[in-house]
Amino acid sequence: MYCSSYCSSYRSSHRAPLLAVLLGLVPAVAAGSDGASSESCELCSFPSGWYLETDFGAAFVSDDSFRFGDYTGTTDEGVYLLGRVAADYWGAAGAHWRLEGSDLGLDARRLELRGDLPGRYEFRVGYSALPHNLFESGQTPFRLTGDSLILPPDWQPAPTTTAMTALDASLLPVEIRTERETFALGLSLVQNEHVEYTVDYRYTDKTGTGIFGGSFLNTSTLLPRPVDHRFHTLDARMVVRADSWSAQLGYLASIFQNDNQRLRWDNPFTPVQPGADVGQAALEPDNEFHRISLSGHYRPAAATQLSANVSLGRMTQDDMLLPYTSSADLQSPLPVQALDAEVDTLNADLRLVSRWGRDLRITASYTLDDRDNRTPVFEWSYRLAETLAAVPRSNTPYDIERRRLRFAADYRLPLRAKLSGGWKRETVERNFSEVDRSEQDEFWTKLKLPVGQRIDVAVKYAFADRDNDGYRQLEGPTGESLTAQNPLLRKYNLADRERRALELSVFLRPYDNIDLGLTAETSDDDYTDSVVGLVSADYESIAGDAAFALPRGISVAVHGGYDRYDSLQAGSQAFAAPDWRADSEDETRYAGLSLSLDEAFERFRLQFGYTYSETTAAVRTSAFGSAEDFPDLSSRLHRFEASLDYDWRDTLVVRLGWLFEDYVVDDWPLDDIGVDGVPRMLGLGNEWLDHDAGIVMLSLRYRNRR
Amino acid sequence: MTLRVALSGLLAAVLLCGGTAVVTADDEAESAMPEYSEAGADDCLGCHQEPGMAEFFRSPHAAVSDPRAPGGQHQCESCHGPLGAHLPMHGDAVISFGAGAHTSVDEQNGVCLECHQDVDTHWASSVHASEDLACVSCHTIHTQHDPVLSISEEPERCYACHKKERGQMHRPYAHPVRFGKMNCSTCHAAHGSPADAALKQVTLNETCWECHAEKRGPFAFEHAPASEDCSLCHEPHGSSHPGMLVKTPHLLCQQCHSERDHPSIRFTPAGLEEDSRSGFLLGRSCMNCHSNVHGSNHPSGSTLTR
Repeated sequence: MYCSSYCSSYRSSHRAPLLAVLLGLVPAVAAGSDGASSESCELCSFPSGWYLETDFGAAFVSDDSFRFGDYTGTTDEGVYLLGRVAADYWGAAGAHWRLEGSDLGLDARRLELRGDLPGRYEFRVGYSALPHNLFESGQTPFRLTGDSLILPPDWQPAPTTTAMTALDASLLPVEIRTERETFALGLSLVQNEHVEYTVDYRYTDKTGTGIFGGSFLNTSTLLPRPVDHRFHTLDARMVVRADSWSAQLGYLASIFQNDNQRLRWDNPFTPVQPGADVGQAALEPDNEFHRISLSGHYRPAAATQLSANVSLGRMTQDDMLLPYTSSADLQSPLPVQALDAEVDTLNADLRLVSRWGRDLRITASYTLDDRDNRTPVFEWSYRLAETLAAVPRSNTPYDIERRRLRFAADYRLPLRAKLSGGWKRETVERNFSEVDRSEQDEFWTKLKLPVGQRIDVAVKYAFADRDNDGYRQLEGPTGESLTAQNPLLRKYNLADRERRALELSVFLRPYDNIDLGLTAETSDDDYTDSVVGLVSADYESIAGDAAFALPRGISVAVHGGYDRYDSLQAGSQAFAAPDWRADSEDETRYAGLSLSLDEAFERFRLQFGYTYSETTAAVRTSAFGSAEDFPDLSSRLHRFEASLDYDWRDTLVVRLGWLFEDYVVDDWPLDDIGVDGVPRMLGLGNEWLDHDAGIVMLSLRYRNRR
Repeated sequence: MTLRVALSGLLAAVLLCGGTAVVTADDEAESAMPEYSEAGADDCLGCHQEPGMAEFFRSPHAAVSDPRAPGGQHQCESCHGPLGAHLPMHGDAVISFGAGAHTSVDEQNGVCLECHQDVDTHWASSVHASEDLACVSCHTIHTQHDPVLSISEEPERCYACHKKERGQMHRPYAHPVRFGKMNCSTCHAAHGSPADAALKQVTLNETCWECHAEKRGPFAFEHAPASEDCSLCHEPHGSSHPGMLVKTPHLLCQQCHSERDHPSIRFTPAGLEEDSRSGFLLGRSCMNCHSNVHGSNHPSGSTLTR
């Protein structure tokens, strides 16, 4: 629909019968078959042989900092090796190999090898590692043995953490961090210009230590849980392309395996009941997801396109269930040994885009996302805190069906202006929910209004109204009443809501070498029928940037912005009308500068960058005429980066790099709590610490040719 | 049902009316098409020896072995159109790309989509198409290395329009985009998709479960919002709160939970005082006990504590 007359000509001369394409009978089109041959091009400078560019050097990290090493691995003070490689080899007939690696001396490293003969095949082999430092300075009295966290033999349980006499002597340091290692293989085969096959396999091993909150009614313990997760993903696709249509058949398999099915831990607190001395929780069960999908598009005429996607998936999980309790004396038979849980998914999407004349474009679409949970329902005679028999409860396998119908149109006005508008209806149906069906209508309009050739202004307004068919108390599958909620509560994803949103964007190019941009938006959510729960939420943001391309290869870019999310919710301690309110306000301020001098000096290139980011999250709670403010949750980052390249020889470049971060954080849920700071919660003493840390890097870059 | 009938009617009407006129226009244009050069790229390179042009021959578009690539077809003219009318006029007859080009965005993109038909599946109905983005608004063509295909460099291109996301990615709890370990297209399909927000997978949760499959289940005891929509609790572009939660957990949970037996408590800063610290506020707040908040496969896990 977009193509020029040249394209139409090309299409008509290469039209292939549908059946022939599907059977792979259409041979590849000869290069330049009705034009010149590329191989005879005398001025074309096709590459051949090796092109190697590699960096080798060392970095010195100035301070220990867990956060500074997050996602990089530069956690400890000291010297690290630096390595980077980008090597290409062009062989006969256009065959191409590329080896690319970065951060090779760090824990966060990546290496990839690709080989391809364009138009025939491509294969990919990759490896990457990514450390994630969650929290630092943790301590715990637990020792991990198999899947059990054991307290020292001389441990004396106590009703509160401050009374745990053996605590201080038994603490060991613990790092809360994980690392992902990913191995990837991929192969693409081109049968001919119409048919292509691609298979990608990815294996990820995530290991480390996370946090699990283990509780016994009114006490809890933050536990350093082992993480040994394995993820396998296979993604296979066949793509068929022709002049006016394409189709893609895909299969996706995602398999998750957990080496730890359960976590057992000694209760450090005085047991509330006999038998409550060991806790046992289920960790994430092994599960699988398989999906086949068929998608494609068809262009019956140059101005009209239909596209569609249908995906059928199935999630399964049949791990052996743990017993109701860790106590051998309190066991009762399970209704089933493995749940055999199963969820079928259907995702269908049909879209139409059509241009009427040169100025009017309309789109229509219908989307269905259906989650059909076929997990069997059983009644579970469960126990609280390993000991207390509770009223049996059934599991509630959730079905969700979401349908969306959209119409939109845009009309080109004179002077590059454009007026757009649309309507979207979203209908959601759920089971085991306070709301069986909710429906949202959204209307929007947008005006793009260029001012001359150098200024573009756009304004968008949207209004959405969500209504449900009645809000009721929740019931289980056999009609039993689940834990009663305040009848005045409206869960915010189910509640009636009116949303208004306004967006403004301005882009200016006053001169060819200067770009300026500004965006601003505000939205207002009003939960019209909510007395308890989220009542309202407002969002506003403004952001701008500017880029200057100056003579002699000097470029400067600056950016900055602010956003604020403000929400109001109400609660009721009396399980009646609201008797308290909480106002939350999250703010983000940020700015940055980058400077690049690529050609200002004959043998030097200089780059400099600065980033500033500051966040605050404030909470004010009020009741009975008084208001109290929580401390701000806050962070502030100053980050400086600079590099200087010196062309030492034709083939050698010396690089001096510097990076410095000043990071300050206040996180009151964690700060200064320690392990025993909360009487009924045994913590890990983990928190974020401020840091001033930097790296100085010196490396040598070798390239065999420019 | 009425809506489905309406949609069917609209489809039929558009199919009958929309395309016909343009097909006629195409047919007329075809008869006036200029001719391709006999010398191919040599004719172009005789004049166009701009710095960096050699880099083009390292790009996939230059591959002679690929009959689908410009290099395997009419070289420069595959994208820029037949040279026939260009030489005498110096500049106006070829298809040109980029800001300030005389060729319309639709025509520019049509050239790309002629070969990249897999992109075409959802492109026409994508937000980027409706915003009149040219392919070259994001892609750099005449180089071996297209920055928008690089994990570490792509976000800067996206921030040119999606400005507020740059700030969100610098919040203290965010995916590692600012470290160059993830990029926007880890989750989003810039060329359009069947999902809202142009997500890579067909739903938001399936997109999240690409990396977080341990939270997929299905579990014996599900947490309804976790099964429905991860973004009800998480802000994937970055948050001020641990776990990328949309707000502090003791308030987030109470937006949906006000049970008779576990009442909606007004927590105050008094719960932070040294002699009365509250486990409902500190540490992981509600998740100090309800740790399996994404779902539990324990037979005693209905309250997500096991």
